[in-house]
Amino acid sequence: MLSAMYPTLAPLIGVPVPTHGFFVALGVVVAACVFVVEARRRGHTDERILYVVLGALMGGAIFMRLGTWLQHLDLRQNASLVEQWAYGNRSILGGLVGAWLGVHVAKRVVGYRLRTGDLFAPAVALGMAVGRVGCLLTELPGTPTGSSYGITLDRTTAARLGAPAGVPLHPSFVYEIVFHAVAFAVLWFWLRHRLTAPGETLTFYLAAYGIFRFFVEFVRGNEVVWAGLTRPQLFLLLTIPLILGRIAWQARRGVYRLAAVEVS
Amino acid sequence: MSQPPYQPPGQPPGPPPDPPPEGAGWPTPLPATPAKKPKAPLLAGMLIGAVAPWFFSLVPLILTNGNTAAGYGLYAWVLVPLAGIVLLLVPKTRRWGLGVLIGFFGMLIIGAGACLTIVVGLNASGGFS
Repeated sequence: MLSAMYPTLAPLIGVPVPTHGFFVALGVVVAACVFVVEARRRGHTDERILYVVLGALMGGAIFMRLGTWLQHLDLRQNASLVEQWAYGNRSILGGLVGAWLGVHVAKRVVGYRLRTGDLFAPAVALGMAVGRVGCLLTELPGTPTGSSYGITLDRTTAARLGAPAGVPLHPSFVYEIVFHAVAFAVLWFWLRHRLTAPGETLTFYLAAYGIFRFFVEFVRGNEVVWAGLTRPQLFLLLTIPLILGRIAWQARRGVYRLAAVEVS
Repeated sequence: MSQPPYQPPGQPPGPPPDPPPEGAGWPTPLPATPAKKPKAPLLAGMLIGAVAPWFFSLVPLILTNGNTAAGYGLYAWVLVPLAGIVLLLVPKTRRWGLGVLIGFFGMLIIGAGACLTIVVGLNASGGFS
């Protein structure tokens, strides 16, 4: 099990490549491949799909930085925009929201009417599974756990991350990697062939991830800000009901019909 | 003396029959497929969008041993996306602009935040004013 973090990959492969950036880059490449394969399978060959991708990247890049910006009600306590952009945390949840908004704006601008959620869902799931390996190797793993499978940090790493040394910590990023890998398998090998409602696999994926993330936050080790909840949990507390409400509304309209599978 | 019109062998005399109505066995021409647009501007644009900010930030910094020039190189982080937008607005360079913007924002997602911090941090000791 891990005992130290790896800010660069030098100890593993001998080249000082930033670990986090490397795995996020790998995740983006993997996600792009899955996106292209699925787009071809579903016949999304229109040139305008490139603008949709651009919208996702723009929204994701901007919101993942700004998602953690307004943390204090007293605005003077928040970082300036430039400081936030250069030094601030990057938020996966903020990135997902930004990408979703960016896609909708881009589709409206270029007049692309086909639903694209089915292209993004498996791509995002696999990309996140790969990208989270970078987080696992560089970030605070989680809160202390009494079990033996936790990550125990050495003294130097623990001091740098602000975690207790010699105490097993929840491998919260391993939980996430497993979740996204399973989600990708379900989406890729089952749901995308059976769900007849276009674009809805992304809704299911985001709802599942939101609920999963809400519970993982209890062992993630993020700052608790209100009523025992972290900032991501407060955000999810508002957004999960919206997604679930949408699913319930669509279900009442009879949108979620699974395609019949022939049994030989 | 006028020649009789050429009659192909095996055909009944008289003018050729009218073609049957559409869909009665005659092969219909395939719909014209739109010409494939070149991928090179898109890919080259992506490369430029992802690399140019680094180039203009780091090269002056290295050449001047971390001195003041890097401060101007940092403007590339604003100018590259602006250039991408301008290219996108001009029909002839639209795919270049699309590529530049995809490369730039993709690079931002991959991890420019941390690296930009390094550039700004290095520059701080070299004087930004």
